[in-house]
Amino acid sequence: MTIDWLAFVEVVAVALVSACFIVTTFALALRLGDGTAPWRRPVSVALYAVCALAALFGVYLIIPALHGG
Amino acid sequence: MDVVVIVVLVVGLALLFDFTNGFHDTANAMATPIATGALKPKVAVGLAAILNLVGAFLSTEVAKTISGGLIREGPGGVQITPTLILCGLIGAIVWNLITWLRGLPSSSSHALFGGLIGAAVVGAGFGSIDGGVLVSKILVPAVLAPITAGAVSYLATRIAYKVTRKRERDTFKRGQIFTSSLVSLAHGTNDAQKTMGVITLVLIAAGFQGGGSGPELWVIGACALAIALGTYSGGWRIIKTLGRDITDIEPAQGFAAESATTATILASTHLGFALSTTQVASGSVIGTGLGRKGATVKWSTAGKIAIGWLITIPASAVVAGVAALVAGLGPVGVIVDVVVALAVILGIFLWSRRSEARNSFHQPEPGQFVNPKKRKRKARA
Repeated sequence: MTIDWLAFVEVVAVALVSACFIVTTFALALRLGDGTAPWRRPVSVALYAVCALAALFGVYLIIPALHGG
Repeated sequence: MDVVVIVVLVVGLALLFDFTNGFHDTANAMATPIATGALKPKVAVGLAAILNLVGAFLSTEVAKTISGGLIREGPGGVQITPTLILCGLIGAIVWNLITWLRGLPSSSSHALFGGLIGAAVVGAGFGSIDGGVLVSKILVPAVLAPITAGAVSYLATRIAYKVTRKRERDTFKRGQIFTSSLVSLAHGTNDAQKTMGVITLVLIAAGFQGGGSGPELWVIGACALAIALGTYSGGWRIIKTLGRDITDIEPAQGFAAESATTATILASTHLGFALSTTQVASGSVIGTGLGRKGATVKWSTAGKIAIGWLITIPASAVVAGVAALVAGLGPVGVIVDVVVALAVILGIFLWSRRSEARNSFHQPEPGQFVNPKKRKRKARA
């Protein structure tokens, strides 16, 4: 019985990195959005965008049809 | 009995199973945003339905695990007959409905696996199951996925609370719209697949498709539609029950937990792991409950629910096994199986209409497993 242990490590690693990335980005965006200093606003918006892109990228990776997988 | 009839029965029952799957899993994605007010109930449910539909089309890895991996395809073709698949489905549906009626949170997916395994073992012997696939793509993920989701959720929750200040956290609600949508999408990619896998398996077993092939387009479409419709119908019950049960979950927690759930499910689906979305969502919820300072876990409740999960595969296997034994008596046996199954399904459905208390959902909420930080004392002092 051959078990692909590497696959499990992959799942944990990917889930960990992606979820924490999304949460950190979003949380930072929230934190920065709260301030009054002028530089904060655009950075906050940019972070929201990064968050959305990361999520879309994740979905893209899942769809075999989109990248000829 | 004509093979076509059996295949039609299997397809019909499989779609019914898919429908019931959508029905009780809507809550996994949408209960928290409805509870925190991030989404209006109608919108949430509609969104969940559409996303499940889309998700179902996105990937077929899990379907292939079921149709090609779990049950060995021997030199003469698949060793499992369409009749046995029918018995497996009957086992799964019946057990699923029993746990639903009793309010036990259990995994539809595990009921399906148990059913297939039970029927295959009784009908074709232990050799018909590929142990390697069973362990590596079903059993190990079943244990590992909720733990992964829990750990990731815990970390994500800590981060969310560390990085933001109290007054900023309410906006997590907006984020929840997206994370819940992602959970519904992820659910579609994993759960609709299982039914596709079963239908494909029966088509292969009946000789209508070659061994090792993937699901046909009509199968994908039908399963996607069934799960979407089930999701939409299940939604109305959430709206009725939500007021009472959801306890202390903050938007930040919902966001973190849902991110963890989505990430775990999508990563696993990509590798063809068939897992229980209910269990992964529960893992995330425990993780987020613990992630908030001062929380403790209600181990007794968690224990009871864990036992419910553990018995699902054997229980549905037993029901399916019995059905397989009866079916082994010949065409009459098959008819008996189907009639009894339909009677049980109808009976459970009617019974549930009588006791309105049966609105509990297996939605895993923090309140079930975790005691949140006690705040009331501070207010009084």
